[in-house]
Amino acid sequence: MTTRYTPYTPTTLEPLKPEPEGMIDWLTSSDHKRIGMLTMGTALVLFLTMGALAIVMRTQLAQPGQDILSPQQYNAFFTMHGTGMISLVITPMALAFGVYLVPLHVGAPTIAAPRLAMLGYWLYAAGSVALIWGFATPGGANAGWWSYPPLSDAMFSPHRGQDLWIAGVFLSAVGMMLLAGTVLWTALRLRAPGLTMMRLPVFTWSEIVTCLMVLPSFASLLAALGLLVAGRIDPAIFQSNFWNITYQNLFWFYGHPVVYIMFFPFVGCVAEVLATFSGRRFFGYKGTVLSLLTFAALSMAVWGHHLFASGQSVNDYFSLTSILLSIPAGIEYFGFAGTIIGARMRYPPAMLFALAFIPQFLVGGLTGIMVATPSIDYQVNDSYFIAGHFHYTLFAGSVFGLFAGLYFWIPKATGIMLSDRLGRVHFVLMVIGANVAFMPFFWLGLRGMPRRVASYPASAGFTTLSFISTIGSFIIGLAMLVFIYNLYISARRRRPAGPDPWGGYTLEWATSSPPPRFNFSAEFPVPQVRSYAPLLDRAEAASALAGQKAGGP
Amino acid sequence: VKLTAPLVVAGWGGAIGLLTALLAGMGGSAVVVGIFGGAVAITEVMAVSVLMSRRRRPARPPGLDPPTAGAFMVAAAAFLALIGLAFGFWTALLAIPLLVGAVIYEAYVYRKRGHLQARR
Repeated sequence: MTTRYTPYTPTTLEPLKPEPEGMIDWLTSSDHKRIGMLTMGTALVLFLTMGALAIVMRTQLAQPGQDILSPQQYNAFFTMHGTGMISLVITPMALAFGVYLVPLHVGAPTIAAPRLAMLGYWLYAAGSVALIWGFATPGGANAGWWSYPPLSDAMFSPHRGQDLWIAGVFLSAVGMMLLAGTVLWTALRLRAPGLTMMRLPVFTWSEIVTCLMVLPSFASLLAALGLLVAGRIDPAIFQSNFWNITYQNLFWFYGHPVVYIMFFPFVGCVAEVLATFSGRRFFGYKGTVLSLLTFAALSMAVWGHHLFASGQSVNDYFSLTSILLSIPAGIEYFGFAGTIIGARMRYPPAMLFALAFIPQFLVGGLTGIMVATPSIDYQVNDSYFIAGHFHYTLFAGSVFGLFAGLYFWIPKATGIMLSDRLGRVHFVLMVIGANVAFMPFFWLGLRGMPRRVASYPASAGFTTLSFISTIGSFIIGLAMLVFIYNLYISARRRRPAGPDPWGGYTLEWATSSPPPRFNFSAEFPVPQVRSYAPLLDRAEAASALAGQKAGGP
Repeated sequence: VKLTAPLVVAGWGGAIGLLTALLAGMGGSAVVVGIFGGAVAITEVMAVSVLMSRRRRPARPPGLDPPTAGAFMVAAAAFLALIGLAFGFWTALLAIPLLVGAVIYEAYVYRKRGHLQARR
């Protein structure tokens, strides 16, 4: 017999007490909202740290022949910047949104296995410590975020930094798998009655496909790290090309899907923000859900395009699957366009970031299609063109989706409105900074500037574009300072948000801001769910009723 | 067809299974097909576990989760065990008392939670 989950509504027998607010209470909490905010807060601090490393690297490259960093230090900086942004910042942020929001979106009182979720956070925190420790050791880890052997084996990277890099990436990967498992289980198993799969919000679907990808792809990363450990114990292993290529396949089976893991949740954020501020349901819901599932499946099958230049890849297959990605991506863009075209839009900072995400990610996506063609990839491989492509994908795309989500949901999570004016200043600086910093990468790449070089000669013709890019990186740094100031000043002013400051459509807006311990209460019960926009249904029903009353019998 | 949770997971696993078969058909080596096939297997195991869980007890009522200090201890133990790669495996020995502590703590809080549930 199938048993169904019964939603929890607190009764007078169990009064809602405010949770203790001490640091220990936060650090040992089993409340998914606290776990989500801890993960997000930690990732935000690390975001600033990794961003600072990027600014130092850009300063080094602003002029030819500078020696702010030695080549070895530069290698350690880009290794830490890449590993940190991927393993410690954007992936955790993508999952932190899920930890915080998915239980609310499905009308559940808590996340599935909250203690496991907290273990996931602590493993992530431990991984962060190990990685930063490794960076700080003499020599540091300097074999890049992919750490290909034999460069990363004990013969060529004998220092402790590389060992701590392995430990840090391993710990944070296991932590992410635990967080993804709990988010997935919550979405699949703890849905409120009436909340069928096809009534889940687009954001929750984006988290489902993300978590489906995390579990097998991160398992591949763990296998790759195990192989690397074996190679550091016995460097003879990597004298065989078989194991080198196996490592590359294992690594990229994680390394490419993780790009989508860092992207899908922010597509979900953008979809919710666009629908809310357009005053409409998200256009093409079924098509978007199907495209997310297809996109996720295809994105598991494209990793081999990172091996085009090695001559060890099935080029036809991986080129085909990589180019096919444009179909589900196009469907999602069709959904975005259908939602906003002709709508009476509002433009708070969340909407501005969501709107900027659309063209900026398109630049990253289209250049991705270009490099999915082996003949073009051979030409631009290991050049700044590739760096431009993925910075448009991950920064001008995902990070803009991230800020759309933060400006949208911070009032829900804290009960405090952020400053709208500072949010707009932040947005303008981010758009200018991102494009000034990363657009020159494409021209630098086409002019032949290789990636991962600590310096270049004045005669190379890279100076002007490199200098412009450095200015862009400082503008991004300034934008981040504005954001931090916004958080600070808004926390001091404490302008109350109320339960639903934006007129949102999904279930989290039906409860208080911040939500009570078990998300919904006798005062804020889970509303009836008949579609993926239950609060819009409720508003439309109320409006129809009011119209009937006004019209009389 | 009603889109149920196990069907979503199994269907997605089936889709990547098809892509794996296509890769094998287009000349993928045993290693790459094996890696991709492993992902299909993990996904289908997840689908079966989702299916099985629907046939088990409902989720327990919330409100009784004690603090999660055990999670911190397990993570600290994992950290000590893994930094042994850099500093020698003696650090893994330091992990053992932490793991024992975590097990004792978790056993204690689960027992306490059992008492609380019985009282309800």
